[in-house]
Amino acid sequence: MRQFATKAVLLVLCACLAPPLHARSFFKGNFERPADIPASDGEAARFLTQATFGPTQADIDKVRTIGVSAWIDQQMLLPATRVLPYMLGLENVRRNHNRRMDRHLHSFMVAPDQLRQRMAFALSQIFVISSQHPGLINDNGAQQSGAYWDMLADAAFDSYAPLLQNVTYHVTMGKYLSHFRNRKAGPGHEPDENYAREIMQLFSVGLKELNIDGSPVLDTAGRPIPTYSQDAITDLAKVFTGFTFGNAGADINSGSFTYFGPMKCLEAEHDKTAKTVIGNSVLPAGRTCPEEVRRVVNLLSAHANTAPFIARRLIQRFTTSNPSRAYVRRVAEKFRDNGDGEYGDLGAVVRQILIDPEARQFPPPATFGKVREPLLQVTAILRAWPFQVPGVDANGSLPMAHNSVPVTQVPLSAPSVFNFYEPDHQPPGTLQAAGLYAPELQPIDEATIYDIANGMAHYGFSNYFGSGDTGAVRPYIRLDTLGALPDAQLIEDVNRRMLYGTMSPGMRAILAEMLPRLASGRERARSAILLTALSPEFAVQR
Amino acid sequence: MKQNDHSRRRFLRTLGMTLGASGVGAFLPQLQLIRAAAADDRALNGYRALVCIYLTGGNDSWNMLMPYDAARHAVYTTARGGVHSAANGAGLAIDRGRLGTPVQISDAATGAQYALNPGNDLYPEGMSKLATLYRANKLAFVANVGTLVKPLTKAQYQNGSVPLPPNLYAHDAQERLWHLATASGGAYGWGGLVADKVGIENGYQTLSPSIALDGNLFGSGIDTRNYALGKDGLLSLTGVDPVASASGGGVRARAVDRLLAEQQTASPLGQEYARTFQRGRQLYTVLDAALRSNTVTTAFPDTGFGDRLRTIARMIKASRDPAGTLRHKRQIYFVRVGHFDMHDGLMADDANGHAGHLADLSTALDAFWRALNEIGAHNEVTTFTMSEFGRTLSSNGDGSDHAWGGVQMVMGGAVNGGRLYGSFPAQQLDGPVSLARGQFIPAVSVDQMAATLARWMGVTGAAELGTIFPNLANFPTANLGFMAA
Repeated sequence: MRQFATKAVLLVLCACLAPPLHARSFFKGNFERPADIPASDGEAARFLTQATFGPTQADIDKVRTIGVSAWIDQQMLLPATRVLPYMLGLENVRRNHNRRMDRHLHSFMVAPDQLRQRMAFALSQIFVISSQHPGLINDNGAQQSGAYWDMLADAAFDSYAPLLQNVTYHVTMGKYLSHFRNRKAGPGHEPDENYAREIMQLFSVGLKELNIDGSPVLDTAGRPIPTYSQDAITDLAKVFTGFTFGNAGADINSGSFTYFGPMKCLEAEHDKTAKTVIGNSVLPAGRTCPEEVRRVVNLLSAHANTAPFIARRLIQRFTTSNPSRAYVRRVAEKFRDNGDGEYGDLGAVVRQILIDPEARQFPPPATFGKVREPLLQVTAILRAWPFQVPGVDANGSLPMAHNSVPVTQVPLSAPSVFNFYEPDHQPPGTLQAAGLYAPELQPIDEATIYDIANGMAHYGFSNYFGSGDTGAVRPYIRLDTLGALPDAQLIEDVNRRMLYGTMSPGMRAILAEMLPRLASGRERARSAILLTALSPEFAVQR
Repeated sequence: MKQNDHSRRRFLRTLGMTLGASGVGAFLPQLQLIRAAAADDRALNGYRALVCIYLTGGNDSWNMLMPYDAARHAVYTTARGGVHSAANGAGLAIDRGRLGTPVQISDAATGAQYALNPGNDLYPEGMSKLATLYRANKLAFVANVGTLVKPLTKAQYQNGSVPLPPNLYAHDAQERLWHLATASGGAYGWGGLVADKVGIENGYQTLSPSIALDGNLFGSGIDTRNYALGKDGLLSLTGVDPVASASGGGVRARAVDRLLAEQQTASPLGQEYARTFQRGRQLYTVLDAALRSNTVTTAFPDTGFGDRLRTIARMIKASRDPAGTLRHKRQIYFVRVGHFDMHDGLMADDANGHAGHLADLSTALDAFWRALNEIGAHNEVTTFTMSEFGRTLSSNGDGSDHAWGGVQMVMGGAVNGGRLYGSFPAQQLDGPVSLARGQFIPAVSVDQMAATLARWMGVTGAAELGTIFPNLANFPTANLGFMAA
């Protein structure tokens, strides 16, 4: 009780220091019992499955004490658990992408800023960069990618347009989509069109004109209307010329990758001609590079498509692959106006996604929900149980053992700028016939499902406290308490912690048949966890 | 023979109804197409397979195959911003002096001279192995092929009188059109639609005729689902045995298989997950045994792509084995090679440059060709490339950007090789068939290239081809001629 009071004081202090936007919503509450307290541990766990890297008992208790909105308020006040300072603190060990993943996995398991990290993960799947690119695969690229993550986490609940601008100037994005050292036209070469295309197709407006509910605008013949032409891309490419390392001199080829600030834009290499970009907007000749980038970012941010485009993508990352048009509309409207007349407030957007009646309806309709992302499956399994994480070793490193097993989804490592999966993916057959989308099923097939299963088994079955090592080399769950329970209670505990109380009678019966055939308490416990992790009921977050 | 075929169909039909009634048919989608094929009189003799090599990102095929005669090479050089050198980092042309005899080829039909990518210091062989195959008439090129609704001139492009494929130059949209082989949209891959029609006489119907080493739409038809195979074959499941037994792994196996078969989730997404997992479990025992007993000795490059091609060769061997379990007669395979979206570093001298990617491709395809010879399937397997678009001839300073028509390869003993098909264009910027940056209006369509391959697989009738390629009638020929009958 005393602890709770201390926390509350700290939070009030934080609120005073925070930007007014957050403070406003914080002080809107009163001291009566909040109306949005989940009715059961199961409902609280379901909310936390949507908003964190997996419900813990402590978080369930907290949400059931303060309610959903206040929990969101508190989360939005927490500062980002950063990646780059961790990497720069490493001694005698390479600061590579494996170390970056150590940090991510550790943060996802134990960092207090769960919602901020989830939002960074969601944003990283819209503004995609990838360690698979030859320009980012090296150790400097790993550290720069850490800086990129921190930028996304810092901006997670801020405004969209400044974020898009920061993404544009980030050196990892410059390398990944090749506007880095992109030069104005000269004899035998034209500006690189890569970033110009993808900032429109993937980061802001998409290929076809949208209504605010995300449905396509159709022409008189019933066809979708393209948002921009190839000519608009060719001209927009001219805007993204002149970029180089932030510590470069006058020569575009100077500078180094060890500088962590934004890219700079050299006016001498920047195309100064007039340009006609999206929506036939004209950028007059002679403007500076920063003026033009700001203008373009504002054009894209203000475009009618951007609110529904970003809204649908973020909804798909947090709550459901198949939001209703009304749900997309409500979130897109928050993007356009957070309630205080401010445009592009990502914090207001994610809040609406989570508190929306469609997200909170319990039990949800059959089509609501999303296939769990492989990384979120692993963190949810670990966080469901009493677990321990290794402390830092002599090098300052956090050994999380992810390279001894295929964790098939490493943040900032997608196969292409189209992310690990695409928002419009429809598996052929039943789902396609039903008109349902399932992005996360795109990389799941008869072969990769075994990779994913074995990644879960590594943390939830093969290794646990007491299985061999001393606990210094990887995170561990503890099975003793679970293993000591009689079968029926063991199943109920698994149901409560991993399926928020939604386990079907058929699945209970199958587990009940299995358990008596297994020898020890630990064998029963880890088998029940593995079977649940592999089950179709756990595969989908509903 | 005919009588046997009809008996066999009747048997399969009966089997399909029996299994379908018990609910197993949902997991054996191949059985569902028996109805459609029952009236089909095609004679599917022997074994035939298509292997699609997808070059992800849009291959800059103008530096894969380039003119070698001095006049045309000079035009190419100008359009690409000059010969690449330390002094001209933006230039994308390969110096004619570097196009040695090992990569020189000529078109048997016209006598025109070409060269394949010569590699660099790190990859001195370049694409010489594929040049050798071309000279042996086992390899052909289809030049300036791309997505089209109907034939298109530059004037028509400019005045808008002919419909264009939607979302030209966009990776995902154009890749989808290559997988559909129709620019008018659709839900089914052309390979899968071909397999719908020709997969009927495959012996072990539980295994789809469409086998995917990487995710794709190409192999997915109305009745045909891709079956995904890992790059090294089948992985085992940690803690869960393949089949039920009294051991811990066997107890868990029974529970997993019951969970998948009797799953009670209301979520259609969860049900789809269960079906996929269940297909993997059902095929594990049969395929693991088939792959283990069918090895190839040919050495493959130690790359993910090399591993995948080796697994395809083993799978083909297992599928053709007359004494084996599978006894398939028609199959399609799909495998990806990445890193072709080279907006930057196109001419890099290291392993990340285009020359390195093409040399790796050449070495791996040559190994695949030798492996097919080893197992005696070289005349029965046709390997071809697809890629979402060609790239701009003009440089962006360090690479090339998204464009349209490009060059693809077809390899196999049944290929009328040693020739170029389609039409190799005049390589000017803003030329007769090109736009300002050297984006080429395709001379032949994906539909035509795909229909030529579909015909070889046994889809021969114009009406049948029309159901797979609805725009085929828009084009002057459905057969580009690069396949033997």
